[in-house]
Amino acid sequence: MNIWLRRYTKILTGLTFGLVIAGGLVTSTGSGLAVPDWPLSYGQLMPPMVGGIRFEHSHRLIASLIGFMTLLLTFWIGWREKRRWMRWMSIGALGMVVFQGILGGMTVLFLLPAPLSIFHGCLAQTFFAWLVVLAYGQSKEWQSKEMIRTGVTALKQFLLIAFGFVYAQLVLGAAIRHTHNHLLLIPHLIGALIVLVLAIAILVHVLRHHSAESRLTKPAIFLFALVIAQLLLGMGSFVYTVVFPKSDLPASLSQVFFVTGHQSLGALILAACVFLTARVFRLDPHAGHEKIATGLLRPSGAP
Amino acid sequence: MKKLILSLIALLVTSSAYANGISGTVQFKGTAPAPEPLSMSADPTCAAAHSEPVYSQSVIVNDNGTLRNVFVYVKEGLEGKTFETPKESIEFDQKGCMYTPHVVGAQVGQKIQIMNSDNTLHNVHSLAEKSKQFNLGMPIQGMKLFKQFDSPEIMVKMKCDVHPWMSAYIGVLPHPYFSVTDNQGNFSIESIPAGDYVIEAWHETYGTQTQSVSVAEGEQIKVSFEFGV
Repeated sequence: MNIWLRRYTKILTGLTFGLVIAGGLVTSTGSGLAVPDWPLSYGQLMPPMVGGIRFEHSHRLIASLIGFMTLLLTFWIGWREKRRWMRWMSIGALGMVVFQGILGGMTVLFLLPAPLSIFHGCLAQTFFAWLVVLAYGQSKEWQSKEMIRTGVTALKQFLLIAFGFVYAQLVLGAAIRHTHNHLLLIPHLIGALIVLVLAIAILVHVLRHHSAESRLTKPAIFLFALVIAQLLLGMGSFVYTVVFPKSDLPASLSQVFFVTGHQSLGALILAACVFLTARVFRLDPHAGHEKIATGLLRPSGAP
Repeated sequence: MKKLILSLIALLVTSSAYANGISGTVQFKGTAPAPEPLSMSADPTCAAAHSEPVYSQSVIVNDNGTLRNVFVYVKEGLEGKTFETPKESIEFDQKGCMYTPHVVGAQVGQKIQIMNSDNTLHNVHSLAEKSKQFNLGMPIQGMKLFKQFDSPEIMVKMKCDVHPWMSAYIGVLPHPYFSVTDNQGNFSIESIPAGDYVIEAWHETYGTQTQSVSVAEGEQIKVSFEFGV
């Protein structure tokens, strides 16, 4: 196990969350087309950082860094990692980041068509969640022989359903953001209530059946707290974009805060949900043994 | 002598034909909203271009209680007629990080000369829905480019994504019968053929209003609109 590889993957994952926020700021400030060309910016590598260019070009710079770091990660994992699934996941991450970069360029060149922008937004969050799994796969916990004692079949089902709804919420949220179709708010609101119920159900289930297992209680509480915060940010976004929308003038700081925060927290909820799901699947005493037995999961030290 | 008489007759006929017109004023009703100040701190060059506060142009109520930047045009009554595309271009400048003019009209196919008079970069982004959209960088002071719109549209929004306070509107029509209210709230549509028309007044904040008018040969008619809250 390479401690530096593990740290590097964590740093990359953290920076990717920063990239998600940077991307959100581009949309919230209406700067998506402040730089009309791609891959260069006004024909340069470094245009004057004024107005909307600050957001759009910073996003491009961070994205380039993430792209380069992902390339390095793929080579590093290919070199040091024995587990085939990790190698494939790193190749998948590289494919995603390359595709995401091209999608970003296309959104600029085709003047932000909604389907492309929605896809770009959703893929960013998927990539972030993907890296969370990659980072978890590098962890000591994943590579140990540890299992939890009680069965997690019901929890797995809750988590998979929650994952589906959270992802659907992300798609709906991106669609609202890029089409301004307020009719989509209705399913988004219903989805939010379902996610809240699921977060409560997961928390209650974990506290009732796995209360001694802090590896489950802590992320379940974290997930629930994120969902509550997300509801508050969602309300703020609704107030600033639907109840009191600003048309022409630059978006207010409050609007940018709520809308970008809502989008970024959505990414964090997806990541938290994916992490907890991955952890439950990894620590499942039954499935884990089966995987180890079938060679899909190799405990640390295994050849 | 015969030629002179014919010329005089022709002049009279021509002058009477060109006398037809629609003019008027757009009044503002109610209390004028307080002008919204614009912050240009996002680009020091823009901020330095103004020694006095700059305000949003979305609602400008003139001192005489009239409304500026209302686009008034013939909406109906010219169907089936064709009009030559003017050879002269419309000037559309980016100056002091504001669009000048804020509201303007152009005929379909007429060249629009877009200029950057600022010592900073702009992108000029058309949000046309009936013509092809464009988004072009204008990074150099003094840079000019020409664009045109291929279909009528009320109104084409123009914006700069570098400076999000910058927006303007271009009314694109298949005919030359349009006008924009000035700093006295006046508009004037000249040399329109006699006939029955529907006139529409468009304002970016207050929407549209229409009126039906009949213009007789040699007649200058007055129309007034009233917008507000």
